[in-house]
Amino acid sequence: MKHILTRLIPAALVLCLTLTACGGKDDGSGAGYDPAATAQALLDSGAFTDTLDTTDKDTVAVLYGVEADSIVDCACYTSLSAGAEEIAVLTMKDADSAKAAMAGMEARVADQKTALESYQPDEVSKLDKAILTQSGNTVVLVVAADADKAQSTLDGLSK
Amino acid sequence: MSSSQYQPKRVRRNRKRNRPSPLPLLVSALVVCLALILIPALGRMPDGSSGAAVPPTSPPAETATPTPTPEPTPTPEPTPTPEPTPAPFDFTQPAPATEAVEMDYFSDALFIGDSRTDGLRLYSGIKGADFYCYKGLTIFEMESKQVIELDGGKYTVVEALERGPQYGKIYISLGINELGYYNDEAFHKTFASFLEKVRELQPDAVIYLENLVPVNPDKCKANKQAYYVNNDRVAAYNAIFPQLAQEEQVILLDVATALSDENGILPADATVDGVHFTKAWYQKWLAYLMEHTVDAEVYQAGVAAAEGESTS
Repeated sequence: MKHILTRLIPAALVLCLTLTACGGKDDGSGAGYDPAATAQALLDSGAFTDTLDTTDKDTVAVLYGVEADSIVDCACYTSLSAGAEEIAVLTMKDADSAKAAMAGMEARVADQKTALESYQPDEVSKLDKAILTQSGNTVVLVVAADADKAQSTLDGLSK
Repeated sequence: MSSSQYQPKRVRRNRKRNRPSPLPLLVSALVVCLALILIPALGRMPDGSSGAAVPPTSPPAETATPTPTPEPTPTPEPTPTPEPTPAPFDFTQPAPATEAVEMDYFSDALFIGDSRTDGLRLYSGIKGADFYCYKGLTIFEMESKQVIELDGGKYTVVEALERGPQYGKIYISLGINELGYYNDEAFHKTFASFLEKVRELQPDAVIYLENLVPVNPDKCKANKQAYYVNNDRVAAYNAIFPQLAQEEQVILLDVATALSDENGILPADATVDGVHFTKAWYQKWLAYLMEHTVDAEVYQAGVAAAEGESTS
């Protein structure tokens, strides 16, 4: 009996550690936010006043200046009124591509500010409160009418 | 004992008893040999020596003279069909409907435009094309607004056309941001000048000029669009585009008709703000572009014909 227990205890410990890792949000392994679920939660949060619709992976890659094959999974919604509101949740294949995607999102926010200053000036304040965050290899950009509501939705998802 | 076993003995016995003289047999063999030697020799004699003089005889048996294998008739060299000269494109008319092209058609295409064209890029599902587009861009800014990113720098559309790749097709869609200018002549002249520049900088490109899709008045009002964003102003510019197409030899694409309803306006369910389109409408726009293409040779023939007319 003692012999069996000696063999089972290490195996049980390994199993426990594995399960703990799967449950974490910010473990650096690339898990992070689930793109589709995160985007849907944000859309449902009431933080947006504009109508948004999806863009496909190839367009997302161009939009944020990353290689399409470095995107493992993504969900992206942009404004049908050419406004500022936007949701982008990109799970990248590694830390380097996640870093590139974050840089691309920062550039996108800056470009949008420049473009909208003269085109739709009222939209610029939304860009001033843009949310940029990263969890593992997943990077998130949210430009909402109600940034606080969007942030609390993200906080709820990361608990 | 059967009769069949007995007969050979009898034959052998008869041969011994009545052996004939071999002389007639030898003479006959000699005659046959001579005949075999002489007949083929006669057959090989030239026509002049034998054809007319020798009376016709019955045709030789088929086995005697083998039918000459007919010389294979040489397959005539196919006469090269002359390349059909493409009928020159008529720039007075919008591009007619054609069989839809595949998506790779756009691999050498460039789209120049404003936020509507940006919507085409974002939502239509188009692949392979390049876009020189920017929110709020107008025809009056083609040489002044440095908003096109190229090789890490920012350039005007004209600069980008000069420095960037050469394209096979260039689609131009501008006008919605110019509705408030109320100077149709300036719009016409500036557009004409830009089209000339595009042809000069991209000589091999088929240039498509898209007319202006109307707005939805109710949605415009609800979304507090400027007063000049209306379909009277759209109609004023849409009267200029056919003139530009003819004058500058570019292909007019009647997207306005394709994306309007029976009342000639942008349908309410095709727009959120009265001006820009829904995803389904951007896809409809792309489908129209894919079904209204003009072959480069037909286009160039049209340009040559138009230039010939203008110089004669």
